[in-house]
Amino acid sequence: MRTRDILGEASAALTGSRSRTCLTGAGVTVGALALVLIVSLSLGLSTLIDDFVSGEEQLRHVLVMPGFGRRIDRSVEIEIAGEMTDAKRDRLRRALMKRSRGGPPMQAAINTIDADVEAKLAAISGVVDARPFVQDRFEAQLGDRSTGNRKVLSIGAPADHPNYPGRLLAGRWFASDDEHAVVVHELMLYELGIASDEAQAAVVGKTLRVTARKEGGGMLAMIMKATGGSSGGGKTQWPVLYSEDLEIVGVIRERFGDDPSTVMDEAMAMQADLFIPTEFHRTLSERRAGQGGLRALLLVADSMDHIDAIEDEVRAMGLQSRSVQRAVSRIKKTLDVATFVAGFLAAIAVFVSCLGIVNTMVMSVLERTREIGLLKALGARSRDVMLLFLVEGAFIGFGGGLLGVAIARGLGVFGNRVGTSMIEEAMQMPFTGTLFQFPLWLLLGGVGFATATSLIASVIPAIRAARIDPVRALRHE
Amino acid sequence: MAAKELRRQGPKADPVSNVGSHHGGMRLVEIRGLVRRYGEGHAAVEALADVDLSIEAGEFVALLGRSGSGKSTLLNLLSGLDSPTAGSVRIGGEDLAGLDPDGLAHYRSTQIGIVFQSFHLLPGRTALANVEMPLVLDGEPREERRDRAAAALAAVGLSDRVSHRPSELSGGEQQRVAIARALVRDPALLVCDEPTGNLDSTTADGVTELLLTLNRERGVTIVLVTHDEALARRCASRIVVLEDGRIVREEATERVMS
Ligand SMILES: Nc1ncnc2c1ncn2[C@@H]1O[C@H](COP(=O)(O)OP(=O)(O)O)[C@@H](O)[C@H]1O
Ligand SMILES: [Mg+2]
Repeated sequence: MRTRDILGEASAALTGSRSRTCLTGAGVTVGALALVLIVSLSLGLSTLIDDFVSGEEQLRHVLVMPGFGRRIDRSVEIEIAGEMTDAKRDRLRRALMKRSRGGPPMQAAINTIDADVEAKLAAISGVVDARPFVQDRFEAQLGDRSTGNRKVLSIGAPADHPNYPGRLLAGRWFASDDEHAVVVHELMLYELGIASDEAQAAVVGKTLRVTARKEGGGMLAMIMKATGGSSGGGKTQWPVLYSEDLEIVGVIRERFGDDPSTVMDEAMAMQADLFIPTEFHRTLSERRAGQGGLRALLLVADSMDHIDAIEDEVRAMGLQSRSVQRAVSRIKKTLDVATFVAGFLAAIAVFVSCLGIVNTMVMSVLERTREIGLLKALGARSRDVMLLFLVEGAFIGFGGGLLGVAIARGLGVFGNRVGTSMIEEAMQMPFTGTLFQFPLWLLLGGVGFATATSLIASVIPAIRAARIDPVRALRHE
Repeated sequence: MAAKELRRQGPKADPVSNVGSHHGGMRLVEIRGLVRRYGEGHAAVEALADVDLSIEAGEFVALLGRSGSGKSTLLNLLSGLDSPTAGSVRIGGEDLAGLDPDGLAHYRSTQIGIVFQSFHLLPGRTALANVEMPLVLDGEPREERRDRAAAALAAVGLSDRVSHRPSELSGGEQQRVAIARALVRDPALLVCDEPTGNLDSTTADGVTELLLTLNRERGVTIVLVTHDEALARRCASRIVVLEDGRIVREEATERVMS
């Protein structure tokens, strides 16, 4: 038989039992739809993550923070030495376990990042740059306006920072890392009652007085807050450590939309109201007695391959280590698992639709036994008969798959619209990413997969058709 | 060897001239010691027991016999739809036992035309499409098969029923379409299994007359199964009577029909 005739015969058979064909195809459509949507969402999310940490440099960042001592590995049995009853041993083990789990809020850092440690970290092999993150909290006073009891966060920022200068509303960025200057955030000015861009620009050149108070952290602060503190009138007032007058050289605005940024900057500067040149900020922080060391140190590795080794070394020094690379790979791993699980469910849908195809084709073979017998009596080869049914199955798969992929594409457009508005609402800024992505290979692959599985599902019915004995099929009753 | 020979003939080779039917008197079919047994042991049924039969090209053989005497079984073996338990079927000198399934399919499509008692037309298709079917299976181009199918329909007198569906045709017309379908590839042998069994006697006469005409004017070799001896005498050149799977009588006839 000619290919064209086989296609014609197969489609004639399908249109002959239209409603059955449509129902079977609908099964394939649902399966293909689910599968394509899941893969498309997974692609979109994966791209979102990649875009979020875009720029290879971020993946080479390791953020080092003070360590809170070693935690006990719970998978290892804790040894309690000495002679004692078993009950006592159990009690001591339990106490040790509990203590080992206490988190940062309750504890002061045991291992700080002082100058020595900083030098050691910078010297780790593979580290090409070490950028200190300095933070502090101040009361800020601008003329007769003051933040009062509300302390604003200040961070140290380098004169050559890649992103901050681009966000200046007015004024300039720092000339050097030890300049006695400050760049203020637009929100702080707003909270001081200076609202418009013009009014905010006018503060450039004025003097900002920052006041540091001695401040306890952790448990003591919590208790003092809870009990009303030492001073009467409700609010705790810690003694003043020092005040400093800084020239406001610029006003910086909030990050918005496509503004470039790095994950580490986002984490450190999320609530920053004051930007102070790094080195100068360090000298300010050092004036706080008893609060030695940096809040964090950002190590930049020469290559992504060295991140693991650097992190190991940092941890060995009893410090905390965070890296974008590891976070991303953990998120991606989670995403992979989620995609796999969802894909598995979709595969079940495809499998069920295949059972539908097997059923339909077997029914069709049974119904057409006589016709198949006749074709064989007229000289059809088994191969032709088999092809006829395989093509029928492939047609159902192709049609159902095509429809499924088309619907998935349509739902994707809808999903992107809904998703974008949800993300924009949550993040309060414009979002330009795509949640559901449909590369050509996915569209073609979806149709191809549906066609191929349907084809496979029709193999057994096709073989049954090819084996029909014409004598028996045509016997006259 | 025999299998290759048969399969090498393209679909357009003329099997009739190939086996020399037009020259008359050449041996077309040679059946020797044919046995067909169904089942095994106690339940075994010997549908054919040691049948010898020769048919010359151009002959019109009528197979007579009661129901269950093995007529259909013999036709099925003749047309390569079934294979014998023992013995051989040779057509034009080629042993069917030497053909693989594809070879048999090719044999059916080139050498044999089959007409069934219950017509077996495809219900959804026009008369023309039904007649075209064997040519579709052969992979013949669309234009050619249209022409050949139309010619075959004309030969059975149905030029004006080309685009009718089986449900729009009378029983006799349906059987004529089936005959046209069997003839469309110019087979060496036309086998008809009780073609008039489902028709009233007037219509049956018409169909029988058509077969006779085809045999006389176009030299088509025909094996016709019937249990109507009178009808057999009117059209066949030879009568073969089967009983319990054996040939019990064979005689040449004076054909009455003209
Ligand atoms: N597939 C089969 N299985 C078992 N017995 C069969 C089969 N086909 C035919 N027979 C038996 O073979 C015998 C001859 O059958 P058949 O050739 O159909 O007779 P006829 O066509 O002369 O009526 C009958 O007894 C019938 O029951
Ligand atoms: Mg019979």
